[in-house]
Formats: sequence, C-alpha cells, structure tokens
Amino acid sequence: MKKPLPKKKSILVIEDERALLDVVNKRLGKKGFEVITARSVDEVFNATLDDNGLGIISVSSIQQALDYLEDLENVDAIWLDHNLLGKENGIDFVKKLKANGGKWQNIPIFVVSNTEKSGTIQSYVDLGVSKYYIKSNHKLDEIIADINTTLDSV
Amino acid sequence: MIKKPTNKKVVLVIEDERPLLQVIEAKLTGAGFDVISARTVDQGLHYMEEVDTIDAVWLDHYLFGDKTGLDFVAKLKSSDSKWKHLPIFVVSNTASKDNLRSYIRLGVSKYSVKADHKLEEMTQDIKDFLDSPQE
Repeated sequence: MKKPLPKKKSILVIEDERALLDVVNKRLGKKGFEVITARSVDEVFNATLDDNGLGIISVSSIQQALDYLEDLENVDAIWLDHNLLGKENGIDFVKKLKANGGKWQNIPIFVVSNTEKSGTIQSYVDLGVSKYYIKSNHKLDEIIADINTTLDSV
Repeated sequence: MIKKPTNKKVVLVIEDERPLLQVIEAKLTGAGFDVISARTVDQGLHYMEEVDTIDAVWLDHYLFGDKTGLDFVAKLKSSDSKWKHLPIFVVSNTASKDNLRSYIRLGVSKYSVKADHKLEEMTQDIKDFLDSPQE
C-alpha cells in the first residue's frame, strides 16, 4: 500500500541579519522544510516565489511578516529573532499576531535571539511562544532539530 | 536553490555589549556591509563554520563567557585553519601592551582602541582594507 508523502512543513523566518537568514534558510531546506527567501513583499511575490515554490518565508520587518501572514495560509511555524530591522522588535510582532485573533493564534512561535535578559524572555513566555532559544547556546542544527521534534509532537 | 541576494561583503561582529553592537551594526550596514553578530567566542566560531560568506571579523577583546578575543584569533590563525587569511579587526578598550602584542603576533589586520577611534573610522578602515587588492 502506498502511504501518502508527508506534507512539507512551512516556516516563516524573521531575522534581520541577511547572512544568517541565508544560512537558516538553507539549513531548514535541507531538513525538509519548504523554502522561500526574501526581504520584501515584492521579492516574494514577483521573483523568489517562482524560483523556490512555497515554504519558508523569510522577512526582515514586522510589517512584511504580517503582510505575508495575510496572504499565505499555510504557515506551520514561525522562527523569530528579537532584534529586527525598523523600530519594532519580536515582542511587537507576537503581540500583533496574537491580537489578530483566532486564525494566527495557534501558530507555534520559536524565538531565536541573542538576548538573554530575563525580562525579555519572560515577556515572550507570557505572550505564549512555544520556545525561546539563546543563539549563543545552540548550533543552528540543534535548534532546527528541536523545532522539528516540537512540531511533530503537536 | 538559494541564491545569494547581494554581493555585499559580510562582517562577523563579535561584541557582547548589546547597545554597542547595535551601533556597530548600524554603522557597518550604513557603509554597505551585511552584518552577522555574535556575543561569545563559541558563537563566533559556530558562525564561521556555518556561514561561508564571511569576509572579515570585527572582534572585541572581552566577551561573554570565559573566552576572550585572543582565543578566537588563536583558533582562526592556527596553521591548519582554513580561515588563516581572513582579516580580523580587533576593537577593544583593553589596550594592555601584552594583549596588543599577542594580537599582532597572531596576525590580526588591525588593533584599535575604542576610545581613540570613532566607529566611523573603524568602518572606513575595514572598507579600505577589503577594497584594496589582497595578496
């Protein structure tokens, strides 16, 4: 009997450092996530989408991320950096996402940040993110493996 | 396939003070670099392995954790290292003669004292260095 292929998980990656974003995208792609790379809405819808198909949607500002969420229904998870381009940070993003209500309420959010201030971490926990990783404590592959495990156990 | 989105040079900044890191990132980005930031020696070394697009390193001496910039440079400049020729710019307030000599001996491209140099000057130095033909 043929088993249907498992659906690829798609993940929205929000990270302001482009060089790191590229690597995260590559790694997630290798681990079987679907991949899109972009830093602007135009890039996603006009260029990269055609090249890569649906999957990881990477953005570097909160407005972009919210635009994507409006348009792309099937985001299974969000990889979120704390410090982002522009004035708003990851906490602002989570607040907006949760404020948008039902539809996006339950997307698991994985914060991956250089910040280890307990107040910042507590804010994310209070907002209901799934996990908080401090970048300097984990290799990227460890974080990806852990996200995979967490998503599989849901 | 992932295409490299730009041909911008990438600088790995290893600096543990967040406010300073943000200023450095802003200066370097303003000067046309892509920045990747780390706060510990080990995180910096991980990124060296994982990010194959790094063109130069901006390094503080005192860092988060028990290792200093010297540990990072010693590792990168060791004889079997594939990053032997990667330019490293040490920017630190700890201008002890011993530290300075160690960095120079290990082969860093430049050692600057934060208090003496404006960040713009450092940024310009890195730019000039990377733009000039390398041996």
